[in-house]
Amino acid sequence: MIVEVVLILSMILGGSAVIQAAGARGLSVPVLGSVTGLALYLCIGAVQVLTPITSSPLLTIILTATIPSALWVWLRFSGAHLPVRPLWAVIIVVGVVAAVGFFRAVPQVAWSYDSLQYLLNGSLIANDSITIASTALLPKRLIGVPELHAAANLGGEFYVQSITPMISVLVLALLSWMLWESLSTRLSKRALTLLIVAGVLFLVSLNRFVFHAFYLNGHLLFALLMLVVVGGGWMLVSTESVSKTALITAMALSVGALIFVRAESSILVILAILPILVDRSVSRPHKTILLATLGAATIGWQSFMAAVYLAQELPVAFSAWGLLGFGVLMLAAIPLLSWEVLTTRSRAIVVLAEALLWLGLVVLALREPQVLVESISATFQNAVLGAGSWGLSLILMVLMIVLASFIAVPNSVNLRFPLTSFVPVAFLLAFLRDGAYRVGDGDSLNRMWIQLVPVALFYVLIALGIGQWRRRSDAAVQTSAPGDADSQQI
Amino acid sequence: MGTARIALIGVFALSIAANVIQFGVIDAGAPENYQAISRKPSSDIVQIVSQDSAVERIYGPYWDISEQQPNADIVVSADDVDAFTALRFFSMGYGRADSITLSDTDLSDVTSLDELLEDPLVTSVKTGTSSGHGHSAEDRYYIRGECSDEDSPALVFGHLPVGSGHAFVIVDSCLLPNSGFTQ
Repeated sequence: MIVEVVLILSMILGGSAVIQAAGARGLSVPVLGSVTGLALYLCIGAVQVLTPITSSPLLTIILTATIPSALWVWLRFSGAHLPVRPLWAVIIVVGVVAAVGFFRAVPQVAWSYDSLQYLLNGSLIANDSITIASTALLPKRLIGVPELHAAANLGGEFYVQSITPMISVLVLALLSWMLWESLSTRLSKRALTLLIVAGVLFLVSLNRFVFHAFYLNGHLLFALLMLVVVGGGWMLVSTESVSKTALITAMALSVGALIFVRAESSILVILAILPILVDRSVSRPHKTILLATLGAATIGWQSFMAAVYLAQELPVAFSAWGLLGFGVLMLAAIPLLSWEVLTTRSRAIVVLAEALLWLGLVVLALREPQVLVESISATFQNAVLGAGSWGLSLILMVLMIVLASFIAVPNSVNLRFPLTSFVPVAFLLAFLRDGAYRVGDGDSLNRMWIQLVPVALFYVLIALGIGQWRRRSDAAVQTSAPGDADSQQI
Repeated sequence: MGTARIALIGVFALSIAANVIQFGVIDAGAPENYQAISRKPSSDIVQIVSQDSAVERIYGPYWDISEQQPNADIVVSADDVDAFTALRFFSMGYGRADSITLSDTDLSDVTSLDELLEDPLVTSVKTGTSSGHGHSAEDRYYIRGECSDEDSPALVFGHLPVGSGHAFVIVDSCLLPNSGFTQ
């Protein structure tokens, strides 16, 4: 239990220090800070794995807590106003101890064969021998989820029992905080509280959300980090209530962490940040940070994979070469961010990107129609007919997104595009993995839907909260808000 | 309030109601591993997953080692060269071994299963079924002796003939003739 408490507190401490140093204040510090700390832990762990230094999770914990804290102390002694809230610190420590104790006491865990492969890689990381991992498993399971559980080996266990449930708690906290910061100038406190409670209620009553809260896998971690990138991106261009530096810091670290969580992350991340990259209101340095993080993390991971293949005297997989090239392309594209056409033709670029994905799917479907037919059939049975344990939830979620699209939401493309572009990408992945999706709970696409749910819910609740329920006193402010619905709708 | 927003509020409320109503129904129809609420006998992942025989056959030997002899130095019989890569990452991962190397000697050249089992120095023999260690669905033996060094365990992996097939054997190095194996 001590290892788990120390692990989680190191993330909260490090992340809060970074986020406060970046300009966040109030509730942003513990909430956005905790997610940032989680992402920071994954990024530091990845650097340890990709470089010759030890991959010991003990070092990851130490670096996650001390590097940001050292920065925080240095800034404070340099005269920066960085307030300390001792009462909040005590509440957080007590809360973490209680939560870890509770989640360890509850014998509730879900697992599949994938879970055991994640934990195996986690043990190898803890043993500083991840380079000998199977080339059949490493490209599929990566190191993100294994890093989280590697710390358990310090206490003689194989998984951190409280980390996945804590990630689900963090999803709820982050969603609530994002809604509060985004809508507090538009809704009365009572209406906003009701909206947030409804959002939380939706998730905790969702069977698959509860399942993933205890499932040893990376889907909910991916969902959390995606919510930071997509939701944070929307807040970046639509609200003034949160420090932009803090948002970009959290988003950049989340982008870096995502690359080490799932094999298809690089593709999904570029789709998530594309609306930000072509948005006129986002500064070029901020765009550069996001694109550079994506490119560098992709190159780092794929170079490592190539080295593992070569060390085991195996040919480097085509996917590793392809994604390595993708990473280089992302870095090479940074100078293009200054092109005026990117912002003047932003709508066309986003539409073109989505059209290209559909075109790619059509081309592959013409070559191997059976893969698409079987995948659509299996997905229909899983998502609509109940074979994937979603009940009516996914159907109703799609219906809500369709209805939300009829409501004028400022910069809605930032929230809508990552959701709609996922559909062709999901079926393209079926071709890339050389096999159609299958019927049943364990199907990978069936499990991946949860990765979109928090972002989709955020979109729906923002659509519900924006518009006609305005406080009269704020009406004047509304009309001049930076992301006005009528002027910025794409 | 626009029509779309009113409809959205309605569907959202309906979604929460549907989530609550169908929660138990979904769990009742889902396989145990995919149920949202599924209490386990303990939080020990090894104990939980070992009830799955396919999992136990693959990972069981290494969990046994990590429980009884962590930080072991392992030598693999030369004739298991094809399985060495898998044996290595399983042993270094779930087995929590310190090192693993390939010998230039076959285990079957220095001993037999009968000889090992009859050794008076043997203190425990754990048996089971094994797969994924060079052969599929074979017997496995984890043989420990009183000569075992608790602080610095030394083990040998290999296959030994049993009847018309093979058994996967994990044995304390000190139980072998001349106390071990060349690397």
